[in-house]
Amino acid sequence: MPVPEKPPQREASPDVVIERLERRLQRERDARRQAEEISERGMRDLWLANQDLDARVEERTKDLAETLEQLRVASSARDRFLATLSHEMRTPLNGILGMLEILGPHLVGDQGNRYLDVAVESAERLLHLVSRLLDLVALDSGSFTTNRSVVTVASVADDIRDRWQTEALRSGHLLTVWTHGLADCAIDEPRVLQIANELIDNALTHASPGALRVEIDVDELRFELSVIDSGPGISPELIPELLTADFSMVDDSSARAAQGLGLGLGICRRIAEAIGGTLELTSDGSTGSVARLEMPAPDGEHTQPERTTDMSQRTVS
Amino acid sequence: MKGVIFNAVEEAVVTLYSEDVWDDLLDAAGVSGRYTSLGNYDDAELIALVETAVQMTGIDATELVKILGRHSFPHLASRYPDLVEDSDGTHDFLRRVNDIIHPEVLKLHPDATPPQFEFENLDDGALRITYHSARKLGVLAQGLMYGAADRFAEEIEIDVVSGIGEETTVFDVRILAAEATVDTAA
Repeated sequence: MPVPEKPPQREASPDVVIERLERRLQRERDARRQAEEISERGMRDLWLANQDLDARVEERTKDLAETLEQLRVASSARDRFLATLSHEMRTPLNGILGMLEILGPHLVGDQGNRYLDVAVESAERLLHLVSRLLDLVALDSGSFTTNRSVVTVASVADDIRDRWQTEALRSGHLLTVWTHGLADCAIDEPRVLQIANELIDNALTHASPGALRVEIDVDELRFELSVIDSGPGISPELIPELLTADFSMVDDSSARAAQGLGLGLGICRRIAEAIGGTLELTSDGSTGSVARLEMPAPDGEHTQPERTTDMSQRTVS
Repeated sequence: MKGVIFNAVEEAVVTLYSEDVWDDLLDAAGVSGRYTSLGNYDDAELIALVETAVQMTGIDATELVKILGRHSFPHLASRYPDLVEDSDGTHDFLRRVNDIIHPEVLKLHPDATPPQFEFENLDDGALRITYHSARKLGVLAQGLMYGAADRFAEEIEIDVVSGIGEETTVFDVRILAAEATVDTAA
């Protein structure tokens, strides 16, 4: 591509040169003014657009805050309603249970006692359900409280045996409770027992008859309670759902038939976390499952960290 | 037409000739010459400038626009150095025009109407570029491609396959060799 040659510079008088330079200067000034006008107009447009955007953001933020407040009010109204309802239900339920107990000696014949047993069991189940609902409300609203006190591990084990001895046998399970490690520890005993009871109840309902082992293992740092059943287990992909849902059950028709609301594991996990621990569920899906509650549990100030030399083992059967 | 193109043409004329020649060109073409990169100016002003330059120099219009395009490139490149420095050679740079450079132009000047390009790699290593614009300034684009090659110190050959001076022009751009130095052709 040819590049044109520069033409020779022309000779010009100073006046012509000055005039030319003045025109050039004027042209540059005009161009500069034009550029300033254009950029000022652009900046003003930008500012106006920004104002508009600010106003819209403010409006949307206000809308969202209002919606959030409405949701909060609705949610707290629901919690209050649920809490009140559960409380109100507990009073007549306790009345029913009390009266059923008094009624017992007045009944004559096996038939009547069987009816009474069914009535007591149903009322107890309802009371249990109502209590779990109250827990759920407390967990949701953040009013769940926990209290630690020093307990002896053996008494926790005894409580579990006393509570489940008869029922385990009735459903064909061989329940054993084992303890290892320290004799005392500081835990929220009612909550720990609540979780243990729920885990055992679950196992008795869902596991096929066989060995059911509860192990309590305590050292200076932690309290661990495991409920180990012997099958049929839970398929591993269902476990996360079981531990996160408030109402769920293993998707199994016989289990569904045996138990109504699956209020158990999800609430147990949340209670475990509320008292500073964790709840884990492991299973290979065929040979059984292990539910493990683990929490930090410094041993009490006034206890001698007396280690049990042998494993204390007692079999309920 | 964006003012930045007028500025680049002014720069080319000043580089090739002189400030006085630009003054004379503006006077002879009867245009104001108050061009700022922020503004938008009538396409007719650019055509008037080219026609006047053809009369003044006696160079064929196509050739002249090509020359102006080539020598406008350094001015455009100096205004947007990042867009040039990120590229790895002429082909790579040209391919970015649609995807990076003109979109950037549109952010600053939403009313601009830059040309559209299509790209195709040919078997012999050439890059086929199809130019589309109602302005029919494919030849200016061709000149700018030479300017880009100068910037990347590459010697290129451009075959005009079809449509020079039309709304759609097809070019095959071949890299011949990397030059030892940047040919500023000043």
